[in-house]
Amino acid sequence: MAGLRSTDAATIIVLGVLATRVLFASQGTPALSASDVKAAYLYRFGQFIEEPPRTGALTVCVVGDNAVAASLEKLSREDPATDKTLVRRDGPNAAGGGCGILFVGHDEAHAAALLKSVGGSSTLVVGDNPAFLRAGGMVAFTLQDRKLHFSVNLANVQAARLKLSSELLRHAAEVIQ
Amino acid sequence: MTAAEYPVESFRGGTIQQKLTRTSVVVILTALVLTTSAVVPYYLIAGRRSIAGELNVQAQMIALNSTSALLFDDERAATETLAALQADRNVLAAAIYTSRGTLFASYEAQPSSATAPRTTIAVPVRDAIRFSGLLAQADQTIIARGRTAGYVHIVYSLRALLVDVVRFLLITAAVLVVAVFGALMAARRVQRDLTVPITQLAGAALAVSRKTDYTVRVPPNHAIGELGMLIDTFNAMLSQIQARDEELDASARRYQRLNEDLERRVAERTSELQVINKELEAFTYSVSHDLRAPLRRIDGFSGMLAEKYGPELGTDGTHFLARIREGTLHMGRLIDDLLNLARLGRKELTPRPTDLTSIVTRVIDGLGRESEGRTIQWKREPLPVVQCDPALMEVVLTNLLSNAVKYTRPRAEAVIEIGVERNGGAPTFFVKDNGVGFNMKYADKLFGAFQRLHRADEFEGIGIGLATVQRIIHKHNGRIWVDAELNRGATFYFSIGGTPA
Repeated sequence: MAGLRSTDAATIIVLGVLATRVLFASQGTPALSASDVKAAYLYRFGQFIEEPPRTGALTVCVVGDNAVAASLEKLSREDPATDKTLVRRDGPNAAGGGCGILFVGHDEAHAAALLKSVGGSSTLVVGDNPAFLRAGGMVAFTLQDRKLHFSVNLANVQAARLKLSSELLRHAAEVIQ
Repeated sequence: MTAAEYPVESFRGGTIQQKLTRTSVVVILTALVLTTSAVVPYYLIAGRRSIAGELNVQAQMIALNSTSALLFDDERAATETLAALQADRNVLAAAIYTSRGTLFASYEAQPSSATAPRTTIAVPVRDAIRFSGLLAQADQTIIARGRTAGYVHIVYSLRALLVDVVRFLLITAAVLVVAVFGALMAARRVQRDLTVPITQLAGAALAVSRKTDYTVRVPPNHAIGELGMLIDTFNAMLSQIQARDEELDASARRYQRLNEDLERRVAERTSELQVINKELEAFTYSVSHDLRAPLRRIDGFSGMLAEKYGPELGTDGTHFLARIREGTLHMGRLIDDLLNLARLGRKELTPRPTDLTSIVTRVIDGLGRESEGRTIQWKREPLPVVQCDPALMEVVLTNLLSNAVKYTRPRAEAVIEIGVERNGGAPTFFVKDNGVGFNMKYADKLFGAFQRLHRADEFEGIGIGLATVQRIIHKHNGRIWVDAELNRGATFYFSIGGTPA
């Protein structure tokens, strides 16, 4: 697992450089880390959740990845929108409640427990590894052609009584029915 | 005769057919040119507006559909979105740029260097649709949650619009060809319906004016409105003229016949009269001639009787014998005068230049016996030399002067004037006396033979002298007339046809 992670890390650095030109160009941020890219994706996922309908601000909860959490917080600060996304850092054992999106970072050991804790609360659970999708996760980041993509397990999404925009699904590297 | 014989060059602006054809073609051309010049710009403007609207929609669609692709850095999805543009053949190329102006995805209908999108653009780009040459270019900003996510750029070809305009022009040209052909056909039809009757009319008018031939008629045609009416009126007019013309001809012929008849009758009468005149003259001559022999015998024997038995006859017998001899003498003169008058009718004129002054002198000398013991003042002026028969002219002057001497006898001093008046034409001679004259109401009897205005016991004479004078003057193509008043004298005027020699 650790080997896999180190490979990921190396790749993400490259990806981050590549992603720079697209994602944060308008923000004038010259250096983008892999965490920044992931944070940007997480931040935007909220726009494509069609059900349940948004009532008030969306909360993105982060477990086990402070870098992503920090990037998210920065995005939230700079977002001029009134219904801006809120960011919450959760501990591995006490997570899930009130989250619109839950990102499970490096600490995947708790993934199953976390999934269980948000069960029935219509929380979009995003993982950092494609294998996460088979463990009950709904969206997972994945690296293809040195570029960050995401895959979706639609069955798990529907089981959580969530509905994602087809627009989002269109950009998914893989959609598991 | 047709109008074709009339030089067509003299028709200013050509024949009616040419004018109609020209007018139709001009009208058609004008209409089409005006239509084209109005429609083409309108078509171009409307076409551009429609293209602008279409491009705007396309750019906005692309912008909308590529927002998430930009958000998730999905070039593939963006490229797919752009590829949808291939449905529109007029889209030459399209591109999506990031908010920083770098090329994110592109589409080319037919890849070429001309349409290849630039790899970077200057940002920000204003949303607009620009037309340049045969291209329209649309720029559209992609907005995501209030922020600029990127730009759409579409290059659109206006070739289709141009093709449409060219097609319109071709259709216009085709319409023009058809319309001009139609105009020519219509002009030909007008030629048949209108120009032919007009040409016939013109030809007929020409025939009438040049040959004065009123028998020509234009074929009636009631299918051509006012022109048909004109033809009918023209024909009716010709009929009237023809009738009048024939009437005139007939009356002219009638008058000619009448005239010829008259002339013929005059000639007949003239020759009859000439014959009668000849017979009369012959009769007069022969009677006069035959009367002379018995008269000479009476005169001879009565002379011998007076000579031989004069003393035995006594005073009364001698007186009776003297009266017999006077009678025979008078009768001899009568016969001589009659013979002279009759001879005049037969005699041919032998005119030559004649000095009237010397004739007058000779005649006055010859009147010595008659004027003996009288006081006569002769007023004379030189008379011209004229072309006439001298012997006959002497007869004329003898008669006129002896009459003047005779009828002035009661005057203590007789004044006889002989002169000439020149009033431009032939000279008029006159013999004027202060004698007894006469009443002018008897003037017409004066020149008749044996007509006398005075009793023989007043003035001797047999009334044949002036008849002879008039005859001679008439033979000279002249004229004689008189102006007189009772007891105030008389003036005899005469002219002779000949000019002064």
